Amino acid sequence: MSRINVSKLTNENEEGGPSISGISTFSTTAFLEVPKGTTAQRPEFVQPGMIRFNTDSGHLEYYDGVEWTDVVVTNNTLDGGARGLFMGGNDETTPGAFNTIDYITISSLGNAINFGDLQAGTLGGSSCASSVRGIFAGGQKTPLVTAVISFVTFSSTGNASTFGNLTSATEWPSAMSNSTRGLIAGGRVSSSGVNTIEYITIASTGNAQDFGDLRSVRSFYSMSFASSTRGINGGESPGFTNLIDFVTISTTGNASAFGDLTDNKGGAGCSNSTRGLFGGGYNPGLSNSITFITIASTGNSQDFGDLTQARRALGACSSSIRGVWGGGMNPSPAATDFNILDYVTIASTGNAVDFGDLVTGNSGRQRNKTACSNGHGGL
Amino acid sequence: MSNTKFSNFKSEDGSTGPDLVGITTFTSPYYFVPPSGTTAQRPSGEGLTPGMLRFNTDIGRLEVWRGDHWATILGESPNLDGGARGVFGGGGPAPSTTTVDYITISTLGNAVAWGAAITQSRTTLGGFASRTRGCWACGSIGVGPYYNNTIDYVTISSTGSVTDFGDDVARTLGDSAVSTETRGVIGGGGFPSGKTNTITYVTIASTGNSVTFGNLSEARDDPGGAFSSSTRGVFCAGYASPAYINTVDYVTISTTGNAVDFGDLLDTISRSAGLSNSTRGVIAGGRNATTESINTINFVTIATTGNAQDFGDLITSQSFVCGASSSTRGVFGGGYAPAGSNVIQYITISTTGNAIDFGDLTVGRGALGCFSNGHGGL
Repeated sequence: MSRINVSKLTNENEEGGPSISGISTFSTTAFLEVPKGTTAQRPEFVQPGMIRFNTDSGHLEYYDGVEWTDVVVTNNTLDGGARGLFMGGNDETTPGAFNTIDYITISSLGNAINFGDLQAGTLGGSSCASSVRGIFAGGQKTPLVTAVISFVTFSSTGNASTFGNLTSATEWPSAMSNSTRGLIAGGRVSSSGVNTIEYITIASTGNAQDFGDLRSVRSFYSMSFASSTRGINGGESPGFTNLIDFVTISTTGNASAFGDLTDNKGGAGCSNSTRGLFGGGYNPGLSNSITFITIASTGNSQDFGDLTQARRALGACSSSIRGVWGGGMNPSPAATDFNILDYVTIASTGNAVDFGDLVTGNSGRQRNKTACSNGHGGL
Repeated sequence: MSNTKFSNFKSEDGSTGPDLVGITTFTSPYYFVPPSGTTAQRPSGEGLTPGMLRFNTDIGRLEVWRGDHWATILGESPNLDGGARGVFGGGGPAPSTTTVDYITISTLGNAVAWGAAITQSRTTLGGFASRTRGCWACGSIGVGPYYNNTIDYVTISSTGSVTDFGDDVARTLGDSAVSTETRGVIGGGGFPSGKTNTITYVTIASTGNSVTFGNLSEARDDPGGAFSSSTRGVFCAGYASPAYINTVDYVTISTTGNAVDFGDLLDTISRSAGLSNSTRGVIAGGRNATTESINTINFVTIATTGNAQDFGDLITSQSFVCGASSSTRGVFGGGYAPAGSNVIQYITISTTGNAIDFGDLTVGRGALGCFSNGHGGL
């Protein structure tokens, strides 16, 4: 009897359901509906692992051997979806750098909205995030390079606050994170490219500490993203390295080889928990390419599609569904800054589609912005 | 074959369980036991599929395969001393008090003194909480300059120090508040010069001043109760000078924006208490245009909109009573009847019926602020 069709199963005495022995699979893309009832209807005799939905508390709960505990869920929904931040930047005509922070609701479309200000006008910084905090680290407070790390709280809007310092003043680093730890990798210290990786604990404040080294120097525009376990960093300019490295975020240590970039280098990266995207940058000319990798594996990146505009010095953020790139520039023949926001559906492949516009500082037309979200693949 | 009886299911060769194809429902109010085993017994290799669920007996947690690792599903219980904790702070009549006391909502008995006082004695303060942190916002000091926009917070598990959180930017007293695990939302209230319809919010895990959220449908103070689910915050009634109103407004807590009409209470009231579990909101006591204190209890279903229905009665008529809740039980503490009352009374939220005696506050008082770590917004 390899297949039977049944609409209802009980045990022989009709006093409960049957016991299903061995490895069991529920083959559906829809859902599994677990038992549900009030707190008063909790079973009298309990064993560790029992699962039910408590209709009084509105929580899935399980018996952990001592008591019924609510399953903790992460809710990164603000204004109906994950929130993406685009921070700092500069443009062709305005002296110095902008301190502005724009935000978007990634699940919607539309123009960005003013979130607040960084502590100082800064370009070429890096950003990463937990579901609560967005981090901005390093960059160039023209003409000085800064080691300052600052943070904002996603659920509010407002200005950034002091977090701590990188070990050195670093411009154009790249950052990635899971829900606990943020990693800041590469960039330039004293005008020289570095391969260092530092880390911070996002929920606290304090200075960054040494994590390990990338396999090579990454001076400008290396691209980073993460799953909850792995941090990925690939590419850079001006050396146009095609190396993709990975680290295990919860440990410390040097990066290992993941594979090679097959197209663009030196753009901006974003991901959900399984797939990471590299968008824009150079190859070696200005590129609109998007390539992707499967984060849990290793291997070379593959073609995904194209951005709506070839550009470099752009920022990228993501939800579990969408990747969004914002800002950037085309250096020739006359330098042009873009306020473009374009997006892709991460699980598919295809070309990016217009999302809306950045708005603050030169009507959002900026380069060297960095982006993060409270719904990225590391969370 | 619509109803089949089995005591045990296996695949043909007995080596595995069956593959249940399609949407599957477990029709029971009790439980479902997933596979369980040690860390060493975790499956491995090519058969791993994202979404696999098991109970790890080594760590006492559910865990799920996320495609690249086994992620522990964290569990959280509001239980302290065996149940969710309700905390009552401040209150009057003048001179107002800094008293804080607490109860275990699942038990019965008298409140226990908290180990510290609120930062400023005051009345008509709003209370809200996450699972870990409770806050009191604003209030009337009772002596010049009379008003206070301070937000205080405590760590609910600590019974320890009360700390300044920041200031509310929209009012100084007579507010009501709702919350989820993330955000506390404060609505209505007033200044010496008048009432406000402004809604503000704070991120409970941080500190700092409140930020503008939107507006209630009408400016009012002496609120008629507020409560929340994990999605909606509901603000009921209040005194919108010169009239008492029965308007129920709601907001979506994770967004910002103006409140939307929910329905009406059965009476035009103010100075009532609000509490909820995840599905039902309850409004009790207060006053109306003709009576200084009333004993009525109303309820609404938070996920829908509509008018309130009768729930039952408080033991005594009381205004400026305060409500805190677990997922099953709602507790009303203090109130003016007309003197400051120490009565704590409770209801079972999922039923209807009259309130029953729970115990006594350490100090009889009304216009106090309260919260719990097990309310319906968590």
